[in-house]
Amino acid sequence: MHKSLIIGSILSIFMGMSFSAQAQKKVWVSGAARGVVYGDEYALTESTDTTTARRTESGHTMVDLGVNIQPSEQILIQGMVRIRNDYGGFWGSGVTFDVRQLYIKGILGGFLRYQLGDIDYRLSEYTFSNTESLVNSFAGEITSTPLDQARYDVFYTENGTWRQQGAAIDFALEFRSVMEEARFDFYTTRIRPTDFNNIDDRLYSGGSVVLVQSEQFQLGGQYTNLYDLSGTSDATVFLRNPAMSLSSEFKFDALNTDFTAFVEAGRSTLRWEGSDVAPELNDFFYDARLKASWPSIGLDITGGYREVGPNYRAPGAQTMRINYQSRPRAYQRYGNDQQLRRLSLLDLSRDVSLYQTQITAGLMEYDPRYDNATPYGVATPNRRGFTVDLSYKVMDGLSATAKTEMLQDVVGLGTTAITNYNTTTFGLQTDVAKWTNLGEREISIGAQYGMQGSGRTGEAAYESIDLGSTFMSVNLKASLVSSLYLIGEWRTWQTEGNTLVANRDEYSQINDFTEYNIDYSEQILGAGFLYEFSEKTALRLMYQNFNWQDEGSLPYRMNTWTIFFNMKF
Amino acid sequence: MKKILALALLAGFAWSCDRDMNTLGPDLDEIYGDFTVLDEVTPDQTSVDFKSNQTVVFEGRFNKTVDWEIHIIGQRSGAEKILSGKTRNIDASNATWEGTTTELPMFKVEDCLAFVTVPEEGYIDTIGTIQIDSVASREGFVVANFENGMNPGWVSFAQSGANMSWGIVQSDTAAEGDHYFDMGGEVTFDYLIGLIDFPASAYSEATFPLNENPDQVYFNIFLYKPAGINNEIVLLQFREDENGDGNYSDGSEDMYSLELRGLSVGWQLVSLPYSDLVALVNGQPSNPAGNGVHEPDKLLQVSMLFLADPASGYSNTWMDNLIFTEGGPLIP
Repeated sequence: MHKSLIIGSILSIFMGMSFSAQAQKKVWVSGAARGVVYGDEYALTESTDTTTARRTESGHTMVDLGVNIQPSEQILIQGMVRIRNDYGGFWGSGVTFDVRQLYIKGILGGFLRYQLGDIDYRLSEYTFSNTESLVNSFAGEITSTPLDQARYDVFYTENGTWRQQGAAIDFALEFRSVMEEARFDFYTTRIRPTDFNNIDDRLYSGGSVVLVQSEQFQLGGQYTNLYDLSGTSDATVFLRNPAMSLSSEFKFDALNTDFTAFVEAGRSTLRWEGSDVAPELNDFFYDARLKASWPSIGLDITGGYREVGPNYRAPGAQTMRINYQSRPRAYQRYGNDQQLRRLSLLDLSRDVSLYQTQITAGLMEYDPRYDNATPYGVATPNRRGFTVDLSYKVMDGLSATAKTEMLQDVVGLGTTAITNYNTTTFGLQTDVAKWTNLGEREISIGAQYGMQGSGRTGEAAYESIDLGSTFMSVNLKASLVSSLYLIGEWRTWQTEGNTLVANRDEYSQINDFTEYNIDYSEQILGAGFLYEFSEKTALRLMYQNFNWQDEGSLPYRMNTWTIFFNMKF
Repeated sequence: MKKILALALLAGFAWSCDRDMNTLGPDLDEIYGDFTVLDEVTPDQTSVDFKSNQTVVFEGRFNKTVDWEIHIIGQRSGAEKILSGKTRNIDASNATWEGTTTELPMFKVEDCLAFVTVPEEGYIDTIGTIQIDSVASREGFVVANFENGMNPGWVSFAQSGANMSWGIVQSDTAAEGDHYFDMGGEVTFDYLIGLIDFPASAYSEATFPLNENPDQVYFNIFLYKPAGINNEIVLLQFREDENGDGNYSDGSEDMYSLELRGLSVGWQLVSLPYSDLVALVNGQPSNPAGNGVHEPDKLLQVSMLFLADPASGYSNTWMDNLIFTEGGPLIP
């Protein structure tokens, strides 16, 4: 009753603000809403499970209400609350009420922009960037719907920003000669609060300076530092992890081709001030790419070479989105022995608890089956090699992409033998209606295929590594009538072989290896209907069959009905 | 041209850096390679005089890092010392024996058999015999080790129960030396089976010659519980003479206690700092009767009472080597 009163009061305030917005245009409401219902039917495929529930239903309804207040032209305040009612809650029972975000931003003196509170920030791929995982870059029509909501919940954006709490400023200076513009961005955030005992406040600060000489040439410098603020507790050891880089982009034309040259190089230091036993890790990276474009035929080819040192540590760039130490919330244990269930494509598409919300020091654990070559993105330490990226727009409604990375260890892991990592992906996207006579209808078919191999040979058998993954996604979106679409997805991921996974100590140094043997595959086959009320509002009814085959765990299947309504306003 | 120079500058910046090219992590040969003994484990001497601060240093070398153990077993006492480590080299830094014991009793003047084992590799090999010419001496004030019989200053009392054993026993199985004190019997009319008072006067002292800092003074006792006994109660009492009149006044001076029940079968060392002793009334912690300050330098008498529930039948426990040490517990 008490909670209902609170929610009612807040809704009244929001409604009042909305009317106020109509009157003055300085207060308005924005946000999003969704309703989700999952119906899961689970069964083992090669044995009988008499312990685990065969069917479960779950879901929730939620609304994010953001109040935007603009008291003057130079100031904007947004406070957003989330009201969520999990499936089964009624009359306030099961309702949660959280502040989702709060920030103030504005312009000082007509040139200095600032933001306080929640900020989304990124610099470069090697210093501060929230990189999409390989496995989720293959999500299709069915699985991307809940995945997009998970991304929204944890503030992952297409720009690769990390959501932080702190302050940021930026400003730019224009010049009449030598260069056109100089852009300055600075931020400081707190990623961990002190416990007032032996854990200090941990801050993450930095910024960038970009000198734009012309549209063809620019030079940038990036700096980040993850550090403990000494004096905020009784701690005597303080983390210091600065990373910095210089980058440059140069565009030029030659041989009827548009060229873009890009170079970024930098270094990092990781040390624990005040510790006699901690090491100091220093290393560097460089990345050089050349992109050739032929706009007239729709072809882009990018070739590059990069090297990232084994001790390069940039937490803002190397923190992974997926926390592989988490366990899925749905059917966490299964089988008559109630063994822990490994996370799967299905869980990654809909379980937001598997995702990291804060930057972490050191290197997180990863699962080689989903990416053994670049688990930490391009900033993955101890990698060097060539990359080729191709994009070709064959015709209107038909495009193709291909990408390959031929990497290897910079230094061997436990041996002088070097591991080679080859990743190749192909993509094809077509709207059949555009090159046939089907008129205004949309019949989009997309296909992606990828493979990754990790291999090492050595004098001794135990030095050998042979791990291979293949993954595929085929997607369909076809309009039936008006805004009603038929959607479908077939997605597979399989990994087989063996490798050694590095175990790291508290200083992110390898102190042991764990043998990793796997022979597994998983598959999602789904179809459904999509009704688009508008560009921002849609209702989906979907059914998917998930199948898990694994030599190391119990094979099972999961059939899932999903009703998914989402809107933004 | 300037742009190309800038790009070249960046590339030069990158290539000018240098790094350590050693392999990352432990050597795989260390983890997965076949195990071999490069140098057999040997002691630097086969007879040792621990009393003169001599030690035995074992040396050996394997081809990879393994968890190894060196066991030294007393042939008369059954005492066992275990040295262990996870290294590829065995040397003075990780395999030096100063005469201490891992599994009680303490070593005596005797021959010891030593062997080395690497459990994960299924490797075991005899090192040989080491002769102990004298045992290491432990610093501290010995209240009683029963090696020289009953001190005439002690006060011993035993009830008239059934199957009573109350006296010093000579045996190779003594925790320290060759003698221990056997306390056993069945008393159906009282908890008390027997007691011994150890007054400071028995050592020609007004109070026990101990450090005044109760955190620095440790009381140690070896106790042995035979298999099948589960009703033993060992109560140790520490009476202080706070006013220095040479007497303990019940009700106005502190008496701290240590009550031990549920001992493990076999010999065990009980050690605790004097400051951890508490005042007990009917077995329950209570306020001390005196100034409430732990003052080991004013300790007048130590008493050992052996008790058992009269309805619980026969009880038995052995004790040995009551000793005060300073700065830490006794290392047997």
